Amino acid sequence: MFIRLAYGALVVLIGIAVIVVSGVPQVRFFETLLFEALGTVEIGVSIPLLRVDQLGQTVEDISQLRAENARLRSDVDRLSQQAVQVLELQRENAELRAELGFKQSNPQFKWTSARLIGFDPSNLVQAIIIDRGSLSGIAEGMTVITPRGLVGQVIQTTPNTSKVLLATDLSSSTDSLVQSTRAKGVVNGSRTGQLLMTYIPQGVKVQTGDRVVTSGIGGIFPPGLLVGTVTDVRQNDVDLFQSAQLEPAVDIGRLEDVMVIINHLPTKLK
Amino acid sequence: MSVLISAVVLGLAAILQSTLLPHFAILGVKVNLVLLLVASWSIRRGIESGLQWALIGGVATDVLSAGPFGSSIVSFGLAAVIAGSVGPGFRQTSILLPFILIPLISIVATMTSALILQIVGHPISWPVVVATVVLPSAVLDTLAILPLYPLVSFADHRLSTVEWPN
Repeated sequence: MFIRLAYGALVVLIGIAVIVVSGVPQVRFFETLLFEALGTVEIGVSIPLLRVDQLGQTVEDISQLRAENARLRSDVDRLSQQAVQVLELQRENAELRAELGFKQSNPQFKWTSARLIGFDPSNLVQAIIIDRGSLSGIAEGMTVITPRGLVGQVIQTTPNTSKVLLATDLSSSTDSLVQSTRAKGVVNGSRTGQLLMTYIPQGVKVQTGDRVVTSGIGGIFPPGLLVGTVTDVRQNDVDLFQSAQLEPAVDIGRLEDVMVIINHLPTKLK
Repeated sequence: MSVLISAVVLGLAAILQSTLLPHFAILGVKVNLVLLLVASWSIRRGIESGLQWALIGGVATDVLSAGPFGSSIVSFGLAAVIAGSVGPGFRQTSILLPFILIPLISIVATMTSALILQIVGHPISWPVVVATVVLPSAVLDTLAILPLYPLVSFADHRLSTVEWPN
């Protein structure tokens, strides 16, 4: 019995030793090799799983499409009238942007598209696995987005797969600002799936519905990417800072395809 | 069971845990299939065999995880020690033993993983983690062991009649 417990202690010690030396390049290389192998299998497994998932969705969609078709025909007439108004608003929008004298240059993003093939197997870490890696120009530290907003950051790559730490993970920290008031703060993930923005200066009015974007401070993420929308503000006059709860811009539960910005790397890696 | 077959079984389990099981998550928590396989095998075969599975299953899980590489080895190792110490001796006396052990094993494994994350610098709010991950995981894993353990038991019984080379 003692020998068995000693054997158990040995395995635990091995695990602790692996954790300690996990940053060593040789160990990382070994881990990367295994990740590439399992990730390649995961790409193959995810294809039939996606199709089974889609088949059930297709059958359900057919019955809904008929009713939606009738509704959409009436919408077309309404939208045709709105199209004329949109053109007028676009012209006015362009004039206002020129009048404000945009100081900050908008980066011209170049990206590569990727498909989500898996989630982190742990319940404590919020990360995803995508089917593109270094062969597609992806490197550690790159920003992952969808047209809706920020998804997260690449933390590990192999030639054909990458791990992405989500912005909703507890360890994620994003320098952000409230788009309307330019109030700066730090957005962290949480176990509830919501985001928490802290260190918002007192005296700045933040209200429900405000959009929060990346500030670009620190060079981790490009500026101007939508992080989330304020759903609740916690303000106390005796505190140095106020905080706000955010609804993430991207619904991770419905995530299928992402974009990896490949012409922007965190400043420290350049 | 040969190391190669163990690696294939546990590797596939880790892939399923990463690809299929998230679609069946409840309150953001999914079944820890690899942990349940390690615990079940430890109950059937004892500590030594269970630790072998813990090592292989831990590596397979950590390779796909963004957490610290090695954390699952530690948590699964502890699970194998607990299950392997009690299982072989008492499973003959009570068929409910796996269903009594699994909640404890799940809690120990998840808390160990959370502790390791905190040690390496991840912010862990223990009340929130216990309420949203540890306890729901224990409930989900206990429900999942109901169909899983008989399968593992059946596989163990069949393999016992055929000796696979290690």
